[in-house]
Amino acid sequence: MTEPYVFLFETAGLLLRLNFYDTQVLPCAAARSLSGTASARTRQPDFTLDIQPPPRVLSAHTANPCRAQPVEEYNGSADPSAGRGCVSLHASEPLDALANFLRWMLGRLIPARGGFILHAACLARGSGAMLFAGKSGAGKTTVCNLSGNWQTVNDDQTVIRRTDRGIFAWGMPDGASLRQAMLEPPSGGTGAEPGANPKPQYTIRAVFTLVKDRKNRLFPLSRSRAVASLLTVRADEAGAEALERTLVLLCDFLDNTPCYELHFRKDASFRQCIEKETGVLP
Amino acid sequence: MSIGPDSVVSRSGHAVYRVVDSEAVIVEPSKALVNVANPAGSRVWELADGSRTAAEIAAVIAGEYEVENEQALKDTLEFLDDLGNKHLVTFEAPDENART
Repeated sequence: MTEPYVFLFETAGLLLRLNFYDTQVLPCAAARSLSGTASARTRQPDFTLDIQPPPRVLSAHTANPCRAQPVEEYNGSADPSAGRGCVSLHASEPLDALANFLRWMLGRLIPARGGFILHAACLARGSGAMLFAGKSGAGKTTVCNLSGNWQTVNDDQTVIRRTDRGIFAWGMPDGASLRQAMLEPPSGGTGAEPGANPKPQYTIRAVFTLVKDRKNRLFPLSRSRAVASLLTVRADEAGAEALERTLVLLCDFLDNTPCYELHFRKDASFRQCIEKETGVLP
Repeated sequence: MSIGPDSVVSRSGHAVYRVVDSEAVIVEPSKALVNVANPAGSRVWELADGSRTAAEIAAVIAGEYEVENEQALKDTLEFLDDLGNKHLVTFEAPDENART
């Protein structure tokens, strides 16, 4: 089999090895700079994804894969327990399609790796973040657009995961972040691990569940109410075992993280409401 | 089966739960249904371990929360019936041989 172009991509603290068997999907500059072999790696990837490999590889993975519903832009499968997957991309913007597949795949991988995904926008300043949780139409994008000096990490889905240093938030990959990661120089400048620059992780200062209203109001939620609210806006698709782990993680997470129900008007005035209660202006 | 004072009550094996600050967060995974029980409801939930009848659970609640037995039984049956409708608990007729 042809040697793939290997790209290491870190997302949510997990190292993904992307094996590009089809260089057509790569940006030209990336195709020139990526390694053609898998040598000089210091860390085992958490997940290896073959991208548009020959057909025999498409069916070569373990016995228990979950298969993504074929969509126009990709066709693929992933086995989180084996840490392997494959996908073929057939979109005019293949990296956007790849990012969409990665988000689908992470929805299965993250619960198996001590985390869960929330329907939540993530706003960050420095290493601190605030999460604004709610289903589609709740106002996550509106909050991001009105967020002042805080950086929008993402406006829809946020990974919450426990590491050996605590519980952190990460943004989900999108086409732009994949493109940027491929084209930016690797950290350390050695070229040994192209694309392995880690994505920032954020300490979560507070979580807000969003309710559109005519008045800005903030209601502190008890831990049990917060757990119940956030469980209902999970974006990953996990089984009962993973749900139990998520419940435990959420309880631990909310031990040290305040959670509020934020009723907000569709203007920037909700920011003062948050500042008054939390001392932090988003 | 509908619930009565003599029904033995068991938490569903499918239910996932965690008690947080004396309130039970109970989830029915297949329906992604999340329930929060207040401290008394949480205590009922914890006692529903398959070794007690609804009346016995109500008696514990009456003692711990200083309410009349009759009221405790009414509230307990109502709460357990609601959980039963959500498939979070199951009811069985008491097995007299096993319980003596």
